[in-house]
Amino acid sequence: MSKSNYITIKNITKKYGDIVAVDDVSFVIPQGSIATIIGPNGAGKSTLAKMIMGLIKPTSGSISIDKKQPHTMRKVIGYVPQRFTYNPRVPITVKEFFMLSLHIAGKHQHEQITTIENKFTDVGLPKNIMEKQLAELSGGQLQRVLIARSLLTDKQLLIMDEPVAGLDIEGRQSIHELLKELNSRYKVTIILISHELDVVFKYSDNVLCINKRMLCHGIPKEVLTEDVLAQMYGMQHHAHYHHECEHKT
Amino acid sequence: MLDILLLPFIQRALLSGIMVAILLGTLGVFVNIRSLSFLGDGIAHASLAGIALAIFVGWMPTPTALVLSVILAVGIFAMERYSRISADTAIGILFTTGMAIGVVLLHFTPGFQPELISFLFGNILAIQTQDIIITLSVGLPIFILIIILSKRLTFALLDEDGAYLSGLTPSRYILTLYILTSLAIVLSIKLIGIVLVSALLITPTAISQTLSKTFFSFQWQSVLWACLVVIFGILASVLLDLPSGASIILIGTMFFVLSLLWSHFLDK
Repeated sequence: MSKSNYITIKNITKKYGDIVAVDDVSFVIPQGSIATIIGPNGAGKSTLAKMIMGLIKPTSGSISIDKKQPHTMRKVIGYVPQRFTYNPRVPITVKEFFMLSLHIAGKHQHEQITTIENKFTDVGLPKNIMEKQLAELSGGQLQRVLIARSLLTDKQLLIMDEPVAGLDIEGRQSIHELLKELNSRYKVTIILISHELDVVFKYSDNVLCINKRMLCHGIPKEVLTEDVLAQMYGMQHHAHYHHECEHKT
Repeated sequence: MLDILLLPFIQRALLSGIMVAILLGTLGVFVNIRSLSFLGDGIAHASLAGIALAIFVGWMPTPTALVLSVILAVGIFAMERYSRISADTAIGILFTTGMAIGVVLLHFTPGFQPELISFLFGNILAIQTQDIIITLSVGLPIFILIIILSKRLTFALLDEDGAYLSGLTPSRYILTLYILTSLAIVLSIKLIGIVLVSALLITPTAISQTLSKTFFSFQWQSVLWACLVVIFGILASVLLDLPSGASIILIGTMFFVLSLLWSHFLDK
């Protein structure tokens, strides 16, 4: 079954003075798919994600989400950042943190509690965590809380910037399984930024290889060739690539 | 001891003090979220330029300083947003520039300025009915606005990206916080003094932060502690014949130390 293009990026470039962060990148992401953006550190992956959300304006080129400008679509975008930067000394509970989003969305108090409880079930968090302070959560719990928060208000697009960074193997796998499940249950489009090739092969419908410019785009097993990986990461990743291919087959 | 509460100047000081305590206790929470404790100090010191200008040309000091504080708040915001410097650096530059302008203007103002000493160190005797009217007429709209915007302000200051994706424009709320805090600081100067006023923005919030487990508690305790610090500070000032600003701040510090000890024993 063919899916309509949900995100269309045409020739976007982002420059900071003379420094090029993203160079003439074009691609489309079909609705309801999982697309993974891979690339080395400093390749422009997070900049690209922030341009899709409308947080950063491209220097040139165009971005549309469902044929609309990104900033007009921001309310349907959920975002889990690579590192959630907040003041951890502020005493705020998980419930209060969630209620901020729901209050802005205009939900009533009883509706807010029900919504939070449902999302907690979705992401596998115990309800008693609601009364904990954000600063008391473990890395994995905080990531799940952020994923649950990003799903609170009928989001159509989730952008996850290395959501499993800093988690152990078990934590990483459970978060990826969760994303797959959310994708199939709610038909949300997911853009995942990752360094892990096994994640690309196991969970992604599409892969976008970025190193400032687009190196490949398509179905992972078709486009992730040795040459592409060598261009992105250098020769040291060849062995890893072979391992992933064996694992995949 | 209760007799002193019947004295009109004590009543004016308490009324004015409680009003600014409610404002600074409420705003202190938002300043704390953004880790901008230096904002109050910067605005207070920079407002010397407004007060000195008013004394120099014969205007009313508080309204002049209020107008200048809004300009300073917008200046700090603009420097933070549209240049590479941080908010703290912007505050530092405007803080010292305001002080320097104030010193130059006072240099050209002939004679001794008793009013200036009140503004620098705070003086409960200096609080007049006119000051209460100014505090109420500026402070009440500020308080109402904070209550209306409380959740939006919290969201925008705690998680800018999240707030943006919820449809808010965080920069507007950050500018609003700077302006409201600047106005509240200037309203408090006559009672507490330029040199010490920022402590009323910081210390009650720090006490509340030490004792609170939820954000709701953090907010109401911050206001409560600000009011208690001001009330006990003014009473100590009268009973012990101490300068009001210093007395209020020392009471605040005493409560803060007690809160640290209390929290330490509770955690054990």
